[in-house]
Amino acid sequence: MSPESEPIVGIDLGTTHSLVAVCDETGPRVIRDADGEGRVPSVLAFGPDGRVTVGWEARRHAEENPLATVFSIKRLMGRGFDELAASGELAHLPYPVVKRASDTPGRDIAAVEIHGRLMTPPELSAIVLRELRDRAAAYLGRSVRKAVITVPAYFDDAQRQATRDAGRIAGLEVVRIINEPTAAALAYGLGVRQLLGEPVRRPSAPRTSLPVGLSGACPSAQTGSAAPPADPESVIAVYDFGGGTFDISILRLSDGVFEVLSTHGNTRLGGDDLDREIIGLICREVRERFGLDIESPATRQAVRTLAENVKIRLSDHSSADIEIDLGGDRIYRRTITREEFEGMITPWIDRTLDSCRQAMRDAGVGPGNIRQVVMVGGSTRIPLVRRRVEELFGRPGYTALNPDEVVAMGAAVQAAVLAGTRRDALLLDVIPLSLGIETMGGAMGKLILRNTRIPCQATERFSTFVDGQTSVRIHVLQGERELAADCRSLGAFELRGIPPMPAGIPKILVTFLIDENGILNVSAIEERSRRQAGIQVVPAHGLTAAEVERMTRESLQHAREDMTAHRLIDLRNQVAFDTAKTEDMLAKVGSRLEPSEQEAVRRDMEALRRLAAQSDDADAIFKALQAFDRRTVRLAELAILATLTESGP
Amino acid sequence: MPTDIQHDTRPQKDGPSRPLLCESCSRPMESPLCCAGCGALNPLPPSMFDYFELFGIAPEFDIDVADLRRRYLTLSRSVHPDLVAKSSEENRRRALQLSSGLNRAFDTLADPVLRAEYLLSLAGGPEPHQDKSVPPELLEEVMTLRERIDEAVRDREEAALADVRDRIRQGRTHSLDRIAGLCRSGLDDPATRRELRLVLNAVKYWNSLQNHLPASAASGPEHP
Repeated sequence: MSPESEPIVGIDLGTTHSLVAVCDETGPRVIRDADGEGRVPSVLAFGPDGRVTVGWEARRHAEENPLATVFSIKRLMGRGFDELAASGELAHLPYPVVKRASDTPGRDIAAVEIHGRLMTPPELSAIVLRELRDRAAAYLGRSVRKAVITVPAYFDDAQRQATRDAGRIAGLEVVRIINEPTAAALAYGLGVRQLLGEPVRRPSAPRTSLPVGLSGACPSAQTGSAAPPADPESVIAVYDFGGGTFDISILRLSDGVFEVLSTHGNTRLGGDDLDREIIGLICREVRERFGLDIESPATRQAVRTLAENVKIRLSDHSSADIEIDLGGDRIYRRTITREEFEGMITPWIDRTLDSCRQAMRDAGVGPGNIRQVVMVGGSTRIPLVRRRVEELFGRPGYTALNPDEVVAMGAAVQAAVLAGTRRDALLLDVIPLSLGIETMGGAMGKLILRNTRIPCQATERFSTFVDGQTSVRIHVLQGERELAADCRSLGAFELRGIPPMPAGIPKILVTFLIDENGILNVSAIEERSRRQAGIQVVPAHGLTAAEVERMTRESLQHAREDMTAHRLIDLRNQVAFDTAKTEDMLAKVGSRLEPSEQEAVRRDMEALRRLAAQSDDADAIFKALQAFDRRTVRLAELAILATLTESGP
Repeated sequence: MPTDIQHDTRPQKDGPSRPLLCESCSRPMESPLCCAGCGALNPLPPSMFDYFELFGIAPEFDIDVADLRRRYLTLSRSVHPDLVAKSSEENRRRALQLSSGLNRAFDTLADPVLRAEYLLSLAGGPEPHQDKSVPPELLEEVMTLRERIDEAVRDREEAALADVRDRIRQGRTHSLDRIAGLCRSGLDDPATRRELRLVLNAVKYWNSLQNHLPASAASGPEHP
């Protein structure tokens, strides 16, 4: 990164973990903590005093504080409360999710309630983003204001918008939203070029004091998984099975151009769901054996952690033992074998393979055309996943890249492209879901089909239905189903101010423009009157621009409050220290002051102590402290003099 | 409620006179999207040019798709918004417009059916909404095949499914061959254009049948 250009960081905002990476001329690198850990758990713990902890620390508190520990926020992003409730998603979360009151009818915003305060998923994600931003700023030694953030390829428009909003609330300019499997392909693809022997500058030394193998994307350090492709143009698949989402993307790589041919997936299918299979098993058996329901949030949280550990253990071991003390001499003991676990998760894995078949069909390729299957996301560590992927594609998955880190590194590479620091990679991506409008009779009229390259544009011609009609209502939809009711509503808008004309005469051109972020922009013009409408499609489950604005302000306010809390503690310490010192000086040299001044110092000292104990107004305490210091200048001089006299000859 | 919805993909015929000169360096431009010499992006919207012109190739059905792809990638490197992310607002706006036009042109020309549809449109139609007829015997066969798919899926009869898949491929391939033949014969004659319209409509039925197949049965490379 040249000093004059502002850094753009790459952020993988994950369901269970998030990471931040930077890329300079030496290549991408994940920014790590002192222990060498790049992952930050996407977990927030709220203390009763309103203080938030993020990451590992928050995760450790999850069991003590289940109602105020928030995780899996990503599964809530861009979704309405009704939709979440209907999907059964909320039953799995120990923390309370409620429907937020909205001034606009028809909008349905979900929010998490913490200590009586409602926070929307973008606000919660913003706290994670701020943590990553600060981590990057500390590493780079300068402030960070711009980021590329990754999303699952199968995220719809509302989910992408929610991610953007989160970035804005965190005080980040989201210069680009990119798809996670595409980011992974970027990191993979650049590695491939290294293997092909093309000159790529390598880091001379890692900037952090870490073992080299930990810090880079460099696949040459890999322990030979699969052979590199022999020619520079090849079709690859990225199988991305993360904590909360699944994506499959098929790409063609040619000479630094990463062309996505198709993508498919499921934004509600991830490692979380596999954990839930184990949780379900435990709950069922506890009920059968002891007639108990695991209801307390703390126990549920403990079971959740246990289930995750069991899943992870079963990747390396053939069985895992469970023991839960249910109190009153009731102990639940159980051994889960890998085979049993595989039986439970097979239906989920089958669904990922269906997506793979659909993606291949859409790309017009078969398993034989695919040169490599790049495995991304923590869930690809599961042996059954690897086995089934190998069966489908007829070759072992490529597991040489760290499946947790490759997405963040790809995001950093794309950030470097956008910052203008590298021009050797170009992503050509597609939209995952078709876009259209509701037409007469409640049908979905597709304007832009799924897997269309972006940016893209489509224009439809409309007219009025009755004589003298001055407005038309356009309902924007996303999805593959035939009926509007089965597709996702992105919002509706009206084009007003059409001059009164007989029905069918006005020529209304509505243009859908999907920008390089995969986000839809709509514009409309009535051709005869050249009347133009600026239209903003506000997703029914999303935040309005004004709301994002307010939350951005509030989050700054909270940052200030957090700072104020620190400052108050510091000031109170200072008050205690200064008054104790004054007390000491008064005892030693107080008699040398005028009695009235002695009295004034004592009076001010008490007032300051009272203020510090009772007030939360840091500024007032600071001013009072300064005034008190001025008041005691004479006393301090006398004390110094006395000290000099005592120690003198 | 809106009615009367139709795609308007017809290019405007009265484009600027050729050869086009770069407004920045005055050199002739190979592609009307951007100048190969100085890299300047054309301020004119890509809708003023036909898709073949954008790639600098002749408007024919038989094109070299590999060559088209190379041209597409080269042009993308000049007009994609990512690569002008740091330049002026105006340049970024142009890049968005040019690359969305380029993407649409590539998707259209790379696919033989869409390419034929586009050639028909250039030749004066009929457009899809003007004539929706299909060969009469087709509808009946499509219905029968659809039922056979549903039955085979229900009864898990892999062999029956494979049979239907082969029949669909055969039917589709036959239509594609016919399309190619008609396009090669030239589209000046209105009768040829009407027949092309008919076969293009038929392909849509084959495509929808193919999508009706379960993904597991449909796998296998179409055009590797």
